[in-house]
Amino acid sequence: MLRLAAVGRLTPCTLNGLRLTRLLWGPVMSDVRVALPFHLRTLARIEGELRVAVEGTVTLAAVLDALEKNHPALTGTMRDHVTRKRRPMVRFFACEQDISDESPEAPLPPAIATGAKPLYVIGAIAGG
Amino acid sequence: MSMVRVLVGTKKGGFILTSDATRKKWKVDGPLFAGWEIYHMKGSPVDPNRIYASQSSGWFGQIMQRSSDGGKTWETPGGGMQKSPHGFPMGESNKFVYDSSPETGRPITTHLWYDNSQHPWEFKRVWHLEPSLTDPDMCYAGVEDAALFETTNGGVTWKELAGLRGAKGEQWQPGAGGMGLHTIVLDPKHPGRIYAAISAAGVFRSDDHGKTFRPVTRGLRSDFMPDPTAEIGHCVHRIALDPVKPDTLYMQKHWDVMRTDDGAEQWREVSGDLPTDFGFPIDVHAHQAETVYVVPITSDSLHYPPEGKLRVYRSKTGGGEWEALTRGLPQQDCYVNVLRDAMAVDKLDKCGVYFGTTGGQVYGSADSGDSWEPIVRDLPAVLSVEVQTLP
Repeated sequence: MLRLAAVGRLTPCTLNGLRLTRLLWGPVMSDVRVALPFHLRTLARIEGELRVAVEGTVTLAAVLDALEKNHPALTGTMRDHVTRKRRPMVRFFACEQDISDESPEAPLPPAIATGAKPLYVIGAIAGG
Repeated sequence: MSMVRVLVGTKKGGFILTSDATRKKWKVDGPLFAGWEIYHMKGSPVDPNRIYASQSSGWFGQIMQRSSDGGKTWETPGGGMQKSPHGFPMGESNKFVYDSSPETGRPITTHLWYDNSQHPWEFKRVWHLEPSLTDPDMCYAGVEDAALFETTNGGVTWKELAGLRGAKGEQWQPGAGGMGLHTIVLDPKHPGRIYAAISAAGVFRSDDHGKTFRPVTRGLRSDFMPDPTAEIGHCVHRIALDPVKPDTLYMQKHWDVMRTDDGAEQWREVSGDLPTDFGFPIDVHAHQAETVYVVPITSDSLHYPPEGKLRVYRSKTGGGEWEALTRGLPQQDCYVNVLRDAMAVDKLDKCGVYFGTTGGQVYGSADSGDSWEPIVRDLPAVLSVEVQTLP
């Protein structure tokens, strides 16, 4: 049953080597790299990039869910607690593309899902 | 020997200033939460080691911080190892959701907007924190858009006391600085009595621990309003309770300094001979009834001291007659402002008075205002000043 559920969430970005092998044993887990801006790193008390384990299809929503689960202090800082909408002055970049206005349920590029490249969380440039 | 701890919130972080009771030599610690706006920090009167801080950013929103060791270390309540009953990590200390439930919140969904249309209530930030007089895990938060929240678990979760917005909230309208609940006063004489002041809605009182509120604005007059004596719409900048006579409160309004002697049932003007009655902060001596402090500001268009002279004004007669306190304060070329939450007093025998400026100075007086010295000169713009008197 678990395997079927995992297959139901398969996307091209999870169809590679190790992850496909692990599919035989349980749900697909991806090791996603995330680069946070300075203020969120200090808030979460982390240095440098971090990695989060994402189950199933790697989407922006799934990455943020995992991020907030591991670092509850970040909850509400990137998206609204209730509406789950992105905060206006926070942007998300994947593979040099601004995906801030894409659906948070859309699969992220394979390079993000496989950990080849980090997902960037950026504070919008503002001020003068 | 007693100690004094001054909690300073600034545009770019928090600072803690400490001194012994002489208040001559100060230690400056900070910045805490560097780079973030610290709207307010305030310690529990029951447990001075418990301090709450409101940390916010235009980018990442509201964060609540809590210290249980007098500001040495901080945590986002529930943001660490604490788990919900279901075993999930909790990250809800910054979750401020307006109550619109039929039971307690009533469906109050909009307030008056600048153009007189109705506008949805939107949470922006926590302006003011007021820890309970009896329980260090209990604290009130005044937020923008104006509403009152309460925590009973040390800031892990917050719940709105929606009875306040039930006091004609649909008529409230923001001022130029937003619609913030900036002052919460807990009455030590009447348990359950809470005053809340809002720009630009007025002042409200609860006598049932915040379940219900009513406007208490009789006697206020605001000439910018279509009806200058209307119940709702006064731009109250700050209120302060006289700790010796708790039924007496003072108010710095957009214009006018006011007082009440009956728990805000009736206000009267005591601006008297002030050079201008526009300003933001107001506070009361810790031990001497009728001794009040304000910092007059030129006007609502010119937010700096008249004539470039930074002067605190003190009345020892409960208003009406005021004296300028200038010794140690800059008396030329000074164009800073003192914001509404940026003045406080300590409780030492010789009451200390403190205030911070938008120019980053924090001034202190160890002699009830007779003379002043800068404790620190070059902080970011000061948003708030609170004082703890430690045994």
